[in-house]
Amino acid sequence: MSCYYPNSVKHPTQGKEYFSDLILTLGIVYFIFLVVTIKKEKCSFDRQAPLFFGVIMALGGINIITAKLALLPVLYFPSLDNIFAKMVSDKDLLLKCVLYTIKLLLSGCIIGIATGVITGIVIGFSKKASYWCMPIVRVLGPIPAIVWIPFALIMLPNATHAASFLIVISVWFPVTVMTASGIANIQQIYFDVADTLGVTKLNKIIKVGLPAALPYIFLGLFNGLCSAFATLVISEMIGARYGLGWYINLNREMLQYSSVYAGIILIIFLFTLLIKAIFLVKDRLLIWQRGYIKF
Amino acid sequence: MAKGVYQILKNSTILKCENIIKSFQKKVVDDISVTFKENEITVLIGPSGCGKSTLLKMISGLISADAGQITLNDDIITKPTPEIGMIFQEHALFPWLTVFENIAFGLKQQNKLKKELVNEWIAKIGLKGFESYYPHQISLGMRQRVAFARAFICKPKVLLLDEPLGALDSFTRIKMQDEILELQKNTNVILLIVTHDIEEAVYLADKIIVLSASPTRIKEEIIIDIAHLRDRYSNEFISYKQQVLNCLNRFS
Repeated sequence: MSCYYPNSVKHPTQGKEYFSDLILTLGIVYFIFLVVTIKKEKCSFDRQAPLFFGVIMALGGINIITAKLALLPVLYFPSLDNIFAKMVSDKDLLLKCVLYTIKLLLSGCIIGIATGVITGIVIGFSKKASYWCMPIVRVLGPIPAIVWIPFALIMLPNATHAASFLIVISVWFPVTVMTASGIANIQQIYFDVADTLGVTKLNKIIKVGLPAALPYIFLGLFNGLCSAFATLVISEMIGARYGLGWYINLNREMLQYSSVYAGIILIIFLFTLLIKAIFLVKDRLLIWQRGYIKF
Repeated sequence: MAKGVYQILKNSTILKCENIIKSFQKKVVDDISVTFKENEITVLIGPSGCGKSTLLKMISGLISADAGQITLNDDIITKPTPEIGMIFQEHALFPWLTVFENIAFGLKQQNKLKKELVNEWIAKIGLKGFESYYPHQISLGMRQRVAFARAFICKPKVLLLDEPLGALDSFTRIKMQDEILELQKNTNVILLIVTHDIEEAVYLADKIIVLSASPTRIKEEIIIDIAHLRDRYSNEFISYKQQVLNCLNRFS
């Protein structure tokens, strides 16, 4: 249908049928999977096939509504062909933006997770630290990271540092709270066993406290990561030179909605990949947990 | 000859509790004095909540006594030491470590890890092939065996067992009682067991200490003079059971 029914004249033409190529590629991949797995009694593709098919159909539907019939305002709802064409024409800039976003996100997340785990451990193990630090965490923690924008811009030397700081803040709070809570919830019996086996104080933290609190730490990590994604896009709007958030915002202001959607698609891919990577690490580290928390 | 006997007595392990008192909101342990000797299995039996576990925790050094002192070969116990091991009712295996890692944990912490020794113990408790399993992947009985191996492998002088078989079904429990005797053989360890089960007490113990209701005091010491492994249906065994039951009824 995509091939035989012509595109609406309201949409600017790109010369190349990117959407048809995409559907064709997906179709070939689907067919290959089908042939490879048809003789197997049980395989993961059995479960994935309907979803895969649904995605192809949904893309076809979007293409009909936008490119073929132009049922929605063309300015705000460009055809998929135009969006993919923008991805191709802006590929150098987009690559720079993706790398910038990854760098910002990783630097912020790594610092946020490290400080969060350390403060969580200190609060979890030391009553004195808990007495003095917990009120600060309780008061400052729930404040959305973007509230700190003015402070970050004044206190830090440049916009990149400020953006990084905002991500650190948004990751730090959930990781701290969940680490401290994880340690507080460790059964005393594990420490008793460790004591009777001659474990040193430091090893009680490293070998008993940390692994026992790990499921909670991962919960904090997921919450932190989700708020980091939200903060990231906003923080790139405060004077960044690159980044997917910056790219989307810039093109929105110029009413270039094909580019806006191109940026959104890349953000979706990037965040999905990051979440997938974290899941792989989690599955590896928490393999010992019976019925561990699934997402 | 006399000098040789003196030397053996001098080198043998002696655990002493002298006038131990402990209170939380109210007095739980009241003036307990008792001595435990090497290679001896002592069972503490008494009504629920009388303070048996508190007494064990004080001996292990996990909590301190309000008055009195506990000594192991004249050294006062003020904090936990690897010389006094403990096995808990809930087995308390570290869920993030495999069977092998759990058994090796204590040795590793004391820088005495020998993989062959760990494998030897895994074979001894019948878990060969389960080395890389996590605690949730094995049965309750297997987990308790791992807990035993983890404690025994560190060669403690005293081993405290706080209702170690309490969570097991009766069939596994009977089997594990024989395994405890087997593990204790040739170790010279002082074994101190808390249980609610009179039959278990008579089956395992060289000496049964009957405790009163809280605040707990020693009410009677019964020496079980039957060789291991004991016949649970013999008249002698049944009469010891009756004696312990009568004591408990009298003092609870």
